[in-house]
Amino acid sequence: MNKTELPAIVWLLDDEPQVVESLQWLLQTVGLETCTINSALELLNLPLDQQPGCLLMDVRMPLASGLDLLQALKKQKILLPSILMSGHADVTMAVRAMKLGAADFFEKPFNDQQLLDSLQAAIASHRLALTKQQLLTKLTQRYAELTEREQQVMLQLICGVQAKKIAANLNISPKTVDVHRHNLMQKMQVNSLAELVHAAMLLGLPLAFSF
Amino acid sequence: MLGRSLGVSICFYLLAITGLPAYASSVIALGVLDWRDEAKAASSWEPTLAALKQQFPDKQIELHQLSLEGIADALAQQKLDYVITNPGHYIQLSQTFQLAPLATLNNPFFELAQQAVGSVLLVPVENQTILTWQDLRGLKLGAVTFDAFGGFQLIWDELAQEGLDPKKDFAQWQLTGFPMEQLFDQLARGEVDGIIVRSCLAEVLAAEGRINLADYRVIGERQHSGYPCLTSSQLYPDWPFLSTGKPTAAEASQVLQALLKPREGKPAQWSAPLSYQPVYNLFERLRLGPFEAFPHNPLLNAVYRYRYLLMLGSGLLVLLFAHHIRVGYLVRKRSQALEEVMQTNQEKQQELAHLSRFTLMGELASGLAHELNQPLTAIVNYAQGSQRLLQAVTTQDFPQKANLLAAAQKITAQGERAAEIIRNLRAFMRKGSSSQEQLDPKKLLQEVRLFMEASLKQQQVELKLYLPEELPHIKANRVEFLQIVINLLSNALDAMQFKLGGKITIHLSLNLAAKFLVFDVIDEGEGLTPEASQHIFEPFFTTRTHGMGLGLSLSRSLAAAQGARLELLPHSTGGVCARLEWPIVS
Repeated sequence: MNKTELPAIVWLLDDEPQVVESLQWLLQTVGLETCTINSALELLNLPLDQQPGCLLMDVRMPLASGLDLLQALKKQKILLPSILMSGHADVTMAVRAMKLGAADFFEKPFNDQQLLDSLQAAIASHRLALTKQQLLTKLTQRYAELTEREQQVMLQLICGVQAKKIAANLNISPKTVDVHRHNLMQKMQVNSLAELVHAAMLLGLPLAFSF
Repeated sequence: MLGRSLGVSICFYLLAITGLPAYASSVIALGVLDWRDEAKAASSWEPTLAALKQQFPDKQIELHQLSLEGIADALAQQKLDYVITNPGHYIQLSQTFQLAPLATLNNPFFELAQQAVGSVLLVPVENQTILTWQDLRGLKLGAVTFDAFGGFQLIWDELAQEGLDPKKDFAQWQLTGFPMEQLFDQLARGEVDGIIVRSCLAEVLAAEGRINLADYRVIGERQHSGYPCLTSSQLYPDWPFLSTGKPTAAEASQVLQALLKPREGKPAQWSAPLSYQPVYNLFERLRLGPFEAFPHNPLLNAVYRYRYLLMLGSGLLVLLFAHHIRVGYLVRKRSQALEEVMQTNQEKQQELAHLSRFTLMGELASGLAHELNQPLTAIVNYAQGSQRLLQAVTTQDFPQKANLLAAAQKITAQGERAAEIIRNLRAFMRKGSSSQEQLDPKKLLQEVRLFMEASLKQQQVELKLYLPEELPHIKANRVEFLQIVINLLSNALDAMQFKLGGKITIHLSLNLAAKFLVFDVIDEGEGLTPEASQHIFEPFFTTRTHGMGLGLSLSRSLAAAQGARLELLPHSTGGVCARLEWPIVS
């Protein structure tokens, strides 16, 4: 089963167990799965990007603050979005949180609807990000499976170079170019040149070819 | 010295004997008080003149009969060498002139005594109503003159001792003048009730057969042994022979010899001088002569007599009083100043206490807000979850749905309201700390010193400031800056509480690169344990028994809010250096 289709999970991190418990209860009422994290260390060792979700954590915690954790997650290239909560928020704190990539910032206590909307949006974005990531992984894999000649042909194809021209460039016959083209389209699992160009863009291949 | 003075006196002696005209005047001027007709007077002084003439054959002896004033005038003009006068007049003259008594007159009538001057008050013997001094009150008396010594004045003394005032207690005084005998005629004629005469005058007149002593009664009679005359008064020395100081000592000695020498088998008219002190005493009692200016009231008299001493004393008293007033004024002024200082101190202490309370309240509110927010969040979460659950069921399945939903909504609303109240409180607490000014660090540190003065004194800790030459202004909120530095100072003081004395140093330096003014507060305490230094900035961590553990954490957050940094470093003194880096005004 594709992990992007897995049910979403909300990770909860707060030093106040009563708050965590109430959040669990609230989120269950709307059918959201929750998982309580007990410490910052535990958070950083969890497989956070294995299923769509969102991290909901307090800013002020004893050992590492929510802002510190945001930075740490960013460093680990975790895609999971974070929503921060604070009992005594101020503008400086909120701005810093947003700059560090927080998805949203709530002041306790919060309006449930707003929180849920924000959570859903964050989960959706995570799902999208995960999908993108999955696609990219597949494309990278497929691209890596191409032969050197197929890669050369592909780089010229996505730049709009015609088959004859490619054949002349590579000193091969246009027929051979057609064979390579057929093979690489199959290997990359695309049906049209447009799809191939899209895949190349995702892979970050150069879209200009010089001779 | 002795030899020389001896030589001088011998020399004078020789001169006197040889009678060298260059040194000795050829005339001896003798002034005599005239109280009788001239012929009689001349005859009464005959023996004296004869003795002098014999002693000074080369000299002319001049006898000047003068009145009381005449003698004084002549003395003033230095016309007289010798003076013979009555004791009273002598005392009066001695006030102005240098007079030395050479001899006292022997009574010419009786050979016995020299205490020969007395007075007697006589009344007719047939008048039985007058027996004592007191009986004289309101009567009319006769006397020669008020100035007569051997007459009125001696009786005056007796009257005064009886409590009688001659001027007030008598109807009238009949003053006859000389000669004195006429008083007896007046008494005989009944013109006066009593007469005052020189003692022995009555006896002389009786001897001459002019009166009969049995016709008179003496008032206040006194007996004096060896004195044969009737007296009502004390006796005083007879007339003195006085040297005016003009004659030389040698001449005066020769005069004295002449006066004391018996002549022609008769005793000399003069004998060795008696003390005239009783006369002085009498004059003092009667306020006569030199004592005229002395008040009669004994108290006033004492005041007058000791006036210079009293003036000195009162001057001293005035000075003492002035000193007292001055001291009182100074004491009042200084205690006022002290009071003012104490009041300022107290005000500062109160301000400090208020500041700390305010800060503490802010911190408590902040802590409370955080703590209360957690359960409030949980409450609101549960209430909102309940609402969602209730909305999912139908009214048929659950009839109470509407009621419970409303209740859950109210719980949510109230929870949010509580959170709002806390938010407002926190916003209010934060409001005061928003404004920043450009401040002079030196002035701020002076203020800090003022705040901490009492505590520093109490612990006998010295506060030393080291300032760089150039001191830029800093950008700070005054109250918060003070709060931070005061907090650091009181921490330093606490660190040194087991050690009396010592010093706390505040060292200022410039970190121009970072645009910071660095305040190093260095104490001489025992420093921090590694464990303590790890947690020192955490709220509610404290090394003191009575601390709340909020000071440093609050100071750090206050500093951070103003762009400043606060850290604690170990110092080479063994104590702690609290380093506060404050942004300067660019």
